[in-house]
Amino acid sequence: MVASQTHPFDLADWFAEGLRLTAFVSPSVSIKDQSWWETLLESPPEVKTQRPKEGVQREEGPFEQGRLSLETQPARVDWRYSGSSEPLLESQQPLPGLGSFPSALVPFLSLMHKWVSIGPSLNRLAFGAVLFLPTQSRVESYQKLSLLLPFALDAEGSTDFSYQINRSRQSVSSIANLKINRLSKWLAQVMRFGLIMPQNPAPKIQMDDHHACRLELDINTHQDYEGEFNSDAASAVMDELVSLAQEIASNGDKP
Amino acid sequence: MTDCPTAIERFLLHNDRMSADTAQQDVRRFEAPTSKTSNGQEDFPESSTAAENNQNTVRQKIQDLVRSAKGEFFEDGMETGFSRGLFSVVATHEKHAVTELGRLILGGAATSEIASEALRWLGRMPDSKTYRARRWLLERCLLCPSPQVRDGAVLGLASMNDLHSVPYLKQAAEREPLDELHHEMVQVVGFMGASSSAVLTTKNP
Repeated sequence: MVASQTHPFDLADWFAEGLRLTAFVSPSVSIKDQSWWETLLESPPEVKTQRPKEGVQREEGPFEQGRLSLETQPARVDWRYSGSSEPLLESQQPLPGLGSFPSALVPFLSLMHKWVSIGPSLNRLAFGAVLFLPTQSRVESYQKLSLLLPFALDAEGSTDFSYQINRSRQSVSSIANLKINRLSKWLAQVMRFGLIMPQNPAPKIQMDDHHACRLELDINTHQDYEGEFNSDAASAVMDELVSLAQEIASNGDKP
Repeated sequence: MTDCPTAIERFLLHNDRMSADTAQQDVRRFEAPTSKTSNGQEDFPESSTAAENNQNTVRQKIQDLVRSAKGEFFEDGMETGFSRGLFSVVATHEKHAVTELGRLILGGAATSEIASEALRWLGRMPDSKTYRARRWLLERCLLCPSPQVRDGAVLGLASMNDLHSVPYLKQAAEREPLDELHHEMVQVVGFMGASSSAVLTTKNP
């Protein structure tokens, strides 16, 4: 979905550190013996851990530019697509994560559409994303945040900024009385990477600071919604959640 | 009244022993936080779906609580160290405590007796913040293999008296193999329908 023409940033300016789809299952469903990983990825997971006494199962393996995990608990299912915490030194992309937000989204969303088509009936659905917008300095991070937020920050004279807000909206889908939480958290961050190079007489240590604006999104159907989503409804709702996330990343914090 | 109280009789018994006023007093007596800062949750909005940061702490508290309840004698409707501890941990950690408790019950780590006792008390808590999480767990426990756990879930749902649960209770009654429990489920469904026509606002807001 393309955001409006007034957006201060292109979606491709944002990099994805991690993406998440969380689904809360209906109480009429038991998800103990699912085999979604094998069905969707056509191979077993690299790692599989179980805590049967707590009804928890976690599967994990490589996926596209990062790693994918599937965690099932009695009440919820979490799919997480996350990148390495280390920068990809061999690639052109010097930052950690999954690459640009739009490019990271495509394979994840495609997989999630397949999952909701075979998944259980759901009570609630959430799309989460941790994004960052690279800058050259802390001051530039604050200046860019000022463009994205409905107020200006004192870029030179302030530190430790953090702003979180939920601007809920009525769903535009055909589902009646569905409200959507648009929870966003905005920060400035610095990622510090160390590189130790073996040299004589002592190893050389190189430290690199990477500044960025950080945006944590949790777009989810409202906790008070009483209905259930079948696979068609879940698919439509998921598209709407993602679209709202893209809108916030592009346009900033707007009602 | 027969020697063995029916679901509705037992539900009324609970209300006799724990009126709305005494329930409020009980809540004050627990060591609930006086401010959000004290439990580190001020940064965790209700609309969030992310996993809580101190999940391991909550899990540990619930596991300790369940462990300490082994050997405790439960009498229907009478509060115990376990029920007080349960109220305290739910008051402090809200829906995350309910989630962790659900994991132990649904995974079978809690004995049927403890699980059943927990479910009955979960239905009675006068706490709107955890209402949906508690109701979800009670409805989900209608699928549990243990009849004792299903019985606790039915009684918890009877205390909540929420029409939302009627379809789940009806489905549970249809597949219930035990006559007594089947009868209890049907009775609670009938009771909910009757009370909803007389009183429209009995559920926890």
